[in-house]
Amino acid sequence: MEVDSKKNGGSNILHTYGLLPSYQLQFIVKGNGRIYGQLLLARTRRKVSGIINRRVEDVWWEGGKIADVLNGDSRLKKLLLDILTYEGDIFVDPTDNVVRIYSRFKGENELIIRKESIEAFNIIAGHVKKMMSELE
Amino acid sequence: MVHKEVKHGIHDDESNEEGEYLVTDITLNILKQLNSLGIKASIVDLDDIPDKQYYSYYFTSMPRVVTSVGYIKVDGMNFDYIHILGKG
Repeated sequence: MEVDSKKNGGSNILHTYGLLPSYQLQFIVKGNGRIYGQLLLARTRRKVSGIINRRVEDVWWEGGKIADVLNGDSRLKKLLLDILTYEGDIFVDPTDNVVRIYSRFKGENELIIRKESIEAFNIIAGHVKKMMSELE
Repeated sequence: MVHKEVKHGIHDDESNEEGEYLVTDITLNILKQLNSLGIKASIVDLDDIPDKQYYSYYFTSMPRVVTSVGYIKVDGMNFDYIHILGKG
Protein backbone atom coordinates (compact mmCIF):
# COMPACT_ATOMS: atom_id res chain seq x y z
CA MET A 1 0.00 0.00 0.00
CA GLU A 2 1.37 3.41 -0.88
CA VAL A 3 0.43 6.55 0.95
CA ASP A 4 1.55 10.01 -0.01
CA SER A 5 2.92 11.43 3.20
CA LYS A 6 5.20 14.08 1.69
CA LYS A 7 2.95 16.76 3.06
CA ASN A 8 3.91 15.67 6.56
CA GLY A 9 7.63 15.66 5.73
CA GLY A 10 7.86 11.89 5.77
CA SER A 11 8.80 9.23 3.26
CA ASN A 12 6.92 8.82 0.00
CA ILE A 13 6.15 5.17 0.70
CA LEU A 14 4.54 3.92 3.87
CA HIS A 15 4.99 0.20 4.41
CA THR A 16 1.99 -1.32 6.11
CA TYR A 17 3.31 -4.63 7.42
CA GLY A 18 1.04 -6.46 9.80
CA LEU A 19 1.92 -7.57 13.30
CA LEU A 20 4.48 -10.37 13.08
CA PRO A 21 4.01 -13.44 15.26
CA SER A 22 6.37 -13.97 18.21
CA TYR A 23 8.39 -17.11 18.75
CA GLN A 24 10.49 -18.48 21.57
CA LEU A 25 13.27 -21.04 21.31
CA GLN A 26 13.50 -23.41 24.26
CA PHE A 27 16.67 -25.48 24.60
CA ILE A 28 15.65 -28.78 26.16
CA VAL A 29 17.83 -31.01 28.34
CA LYS A 30 16.21 -34.41 28.76
CA GLY A 31 15.62 -35.50 32.35
CA ASN A 32 15.76 -38.89 33.99
CA GLY A 33 12.26 -38.94 35.45
CA ARG A 34 13.23 -37.24 38.70
CA ILE A 35 11.60 -33.97 39.71
CA TYR A 36 14.24 -31.40 40.70
CA GLY A 37 11.91 -28.52 41.54
CA GLN A 38 13.70 -25.38 42.64
CA LEU A 39 17.21 -26.93 42.66
CA LEU A 40 17.57 -26.36 38.91
CA LEU A 41 15.62 -23.13 38.79
CA ALA A 42 17.53 -19.98 37.81
CA ARG A 43 17.24 -16.71 35.91
CA THR A 44 19.58 -13.86 35.00
CA ARG A 45 19.46 -10.37 36.43
CA ARG A 46 21.18 -7.49 34.64
CA LYS A 47 22.46 -4.03 35.37
CA VAL A 48 21.85 -1.96 32.23
CA SER A 49 23.15 1.51 31.39
CA GLY A 50 22.17 3.98 28.68
CA ILE A 51 18.77 5.06 27.39
CA ILE A 52 19.10 4.73 23.61
CA ASN A 53 22.21 2.55 23.31
CA ARG A 54 21.53 0.16 26.15
CA ARG A 55 24.52 -1.79 27.40
CA VAL A 56 24.63 -4.64 29.89
CA GLU A 57 27.23 -3.70 32.51
CA ASP A 58 26.79 -6.59 34.91
CA VAL A 59 24.93 -9.89 34.95
CA TRP A 60 24.32 -12.43 37.66
CA TRP A 61 22.14 -15.50 38.26
CA GLU A 62 19.39 -15.86 40.86
CA GLY A 63 17.68 -19.06 41.88
CA GLY A 64 18.40 -22.48 43.31
CA LYS A 65 21.61 -24.47 43.63
CA ILE A 66 22.37 -24.21 39.89
CA ALA A 67 22.57 -20.40 40.14
CA ASP A 68 25.74 -20.66 42.29
CA VAL A 69 27.37 -22.92 39.69
CA LEU A 70 26.41 -20.59 36.82
CA ASN A 71 27.69 -17.54 38.72
CA GLY A 72 31.09 -19.21 39.03
CA ASP A 73 31.58 -19.62 35.24
CA SER A 74 33.62 -16.65 33.97
CA ARG A 75 33.42 -17.68 30.27
CA LEU A 76 29.61 -17.79 30.50
CA LYS A 77 29.50 -14.37 32.16
CA LYS A 78 31.60 -12.88 29.36
CA LEU A 79 29.26 -14.36 26.74
CA LEU A 80 26.14 -13.18 28.61
CA LEU A 81 27.41 -9.60 28.78
CA ASP A 82 27.62 -9.76 25.00
CA ILE A 83 24.32 -11.48 24.14
CA LEU A 84 21.85 -10.26 26.78
CA THR A 85 21.25 -6.97 24.94
CA TYR A 86 19.28 -8.83 22.26
CA GLU A 87 18.41 -12.08 24.06
CA GLY A 88 16.84 -10.52 27.14
CA ASP A 89 16.90 -12.46 30.40
CA ILE A 90 17.68 -16.18 30.27
CA PHE A 91 15.66 -18.65 32.36
CA VAL A 92 16.47 -22.21 33.46
CA ASP A 93 13.10 -23.82 34.09
CA PRO A 94 12.64 -27.48 35.11
CA THR A 95 9.26 -28.90 34.07
CA ASP A 96 7.89 -32.45 34.45
CA ASN A 97 10.50 -34.53 32.62
CA VAL A 98 12.89 -32.03 31.08
CA VAL A 99 14.78 -28.83 31.89
CA ARG A 100 14.04 -25.93 29.57
CA ILE A 101 16.47 -23.06 28.97
CA TYR A 102 15.00 -20.08 27.16
CA SER A 103 15.09 -16.33 26.66
CA ARG A 104 12.42 -13.86 25.58
CA PHE A 105 9.86 -14.15 22.77
CA LYS A 106 11.16 -12.63 19.56
CA GLY A 107 9.38 -11.35 16.49
CA GLU A 108 9.65 -13.39 13.31
CA ASN A 109 12.04 -10.83 11.81
CA GLU A 110 14.53 -11.00 14.72
CA LEU A 111 14.57 -14.78 15.07
CA ILE A 112 18.27 -15.09 14.30
CA ILE A 113 20.51 -17.69 15.94
CA ARG A 114 23.94 -16.29 16.74
CA LYS A 115 27.01 -18.39 17.40
CA GLU A 116 27.58 -16.72 20.78
CA SER A 117 24.00 -17.42 21.88
CA ILE A 118 24.27 -21.10 20.98
CA GLU A 119 27.57 -21.33 22.85
CA ALA A 120 26.06 -19.70 25.95
CA PHE A 121 23.01 -22.01 25.90
CA ASN A 122 25.33 -24.99 25.39
CA ILE A 123 27.41 -24.04 28.45
CA ILE A 124 24.27 -23.59 30.58
CA ALA A 125 22.93 -26.97 29.39
CA GLY A 126 26.29 -28.54 30.27
CA HIS A 127 26.05 -27.25 33.84
CA VAL A 128 22.44 -28.48 34.08
CA LYS A 129 23.43 -31.97 32.87
CA LYS A 130 26.34 -32.11 35.28
CA MET A 131 24.18 -31.10 38.23
CA MET A 132 21.49 -33.63 37.26
CA SER A 133 24.08 -36.42 37.33
CA GLU A 134 25.44 -35.19 40.68
CA LEU A 135 21.96 -35.14 42.25
CA GLU A 136 21.15 -38.73 41.21
CA MET B 1 -26.05 -10.44 -18.11
CA VAL B 2 -24.33 -13.25 -16.12
CA HIS B 3 -21.95 -12.35 -13.30
CA LYS B 4 -19.12 -14.65 -12.32
CA GLU B 5 -18.54 -15.02 -8.57
CA VAL B 6 -14.98 -14.08 -7.65
CA LYS B 7 -13.42 -14.39 -4.15
CA HIS B 8 -11.12 -11.40 -3.90
CA GLY B 9 -7.74 -11.83 -2.17
CA ILE B 10 -7.72 -15.65 -2.17
CA HIS B 11 -5.90 -17.67 -4.79
CA ASP B 12 -7.05 -21.17 -5.62
CA ASP B 13 -3.93 -22.92 -4.30
CA GLU B 14 -3.61 -21.12 -0.94
CA SER B 15 -7.14 -21.31 0.42
CA ASN B 16 -6.56 -24.55 2.36
CA GLU B 17 -2.88 -24.48 3.40
CA GLU B 18 -2.46 -20.91 4.59
CA GLY B 19 -2.02 -21.83 8.26
CA GLU B 20 0.50 -24.63 7.77
CA TYR B 21 2.86 -22.76 5.50
CA LEU B 22 4.24 -20.35 8.11
CA VAL B 23 4.78 -23.07 10.74
CA THR B 24 6.91 -25.18 8.41
CA ASP B 25 8.77 -22.12 7.24
CA ILE B 26 9.88 -21.08 10.74
CA THR B 27 11.13 -24.55 11.67
CA LEU B 28 13.01 -24.83 8.38
CA ASN B 29 14.42 -21.35 8.87
CA ILE B 30 15.85 -22.31 12.27
CA LEU B 31 17.18 -25.58 10.84
CA LYS B 32 18.94 -23.73 8.03
CA GLN B 33 20.53 -21.31 10.49
CA LEU B 34 21.79 -24.19 12.66
CA ASN B 35 23.24 -25.98 9.64
CA SER B 36 25.01 -22.81 8.54
CA LEU B 37 26.66 -22.64 11.99
CA GLY B 38 27.93 -26.18 11.49
CA ILE B 39 25.48 -27.83 13.88
CA LYS B 40 23.89 -31.11 12.83
CA ALA B 41 20.15 -30.91 13.40
CA SER B 42 16.93 -32.50 12.15
CA ILE B 43 13.21 -31.93 12.57
CA VAL B 44 11.59 -34.55 14.82
CA ASP B 45 8.05 -35.56 15.62
CA LEU B 46 6.22 -34.13 18.64
CA ASP B 47 5.64 -37.62 20.08
CA ASP B 48 9.35 -38.14 20.80
CA ILE B 49 9.21 -35.81 23.80
CA PRO B 50 6.91 -36.92 26.62
CA ASP B 51 6.77 -33.52 28.32
CA LYS B 52 3.61 -31.56 27.55
CA GLN B 53 4.16 -28.78 30.09
CA TYR B 54 6.07 -25.87 28.60
CA TYR B 55 6.65 -23.80 31.77
CA SER B 56 6.89 -24.58 35.47
CA TYR B 57 5.35 -21.16 36.25
CA TYR B 58 7.77 -20.50 39.08
CA PHE B 59 8.38 -17.35 37.01
CA THR B 60 5.03 -15.62 36.94
CA SER B 61 5.77 -13.53 33.83
CA MET B 62 5.56 -16.53 31.49
CA PRO B 63 2.65 -16.55 29.02
CA ARG B 64 -0.34 -18.82 29.63
CA VAL B 65 -1.35 -19.30 26.01
CA VAL B 66 1.36 -20.69 23.73
CA THR B 67 1.37 -22.97 20.71
CA SER B 68 3.96 -25.62 20.00
CA VAL B 69 5.36 -25.06 16.51
CA GLY B 70 8.00 -27.77 16.24
CA TYR B 71 10.95 -29.65 17.67
CA ILE B 72 14.47 -29.80 16.29
CA LYS B 73 16.84 -32.53 17.46
CA VAL B 74 20.41 -31.31 17.83
CA ASP B 75 23.50 -33.53 17.76
CA GLY B 76 26.82 -32.83 19.45
CA MET B 77 25.52 -30.27 21.95
CA ASN B 78 24.70 -30.47 25.67
CA PHE B 79 21.02 -29.77 25.00
CA ASP B 80 19.03 -32.46 23.19
CA TYR B 81 16.23 -30.53 21.46
CA ILE B 82 15.20 -27.05 20.45
CA HIS B 83 11.49 -26.44 20.96
CA ILE B 84 9.90 -23.61 19.00
CA LEU B 85 6.90 -22.01 20.69
CA GLY B 86 4.54 -19.44 19.23
CA LYS B 87 2.77 -16.84 21.35
CA GLY B 88 -0.99 -17.06 21.39
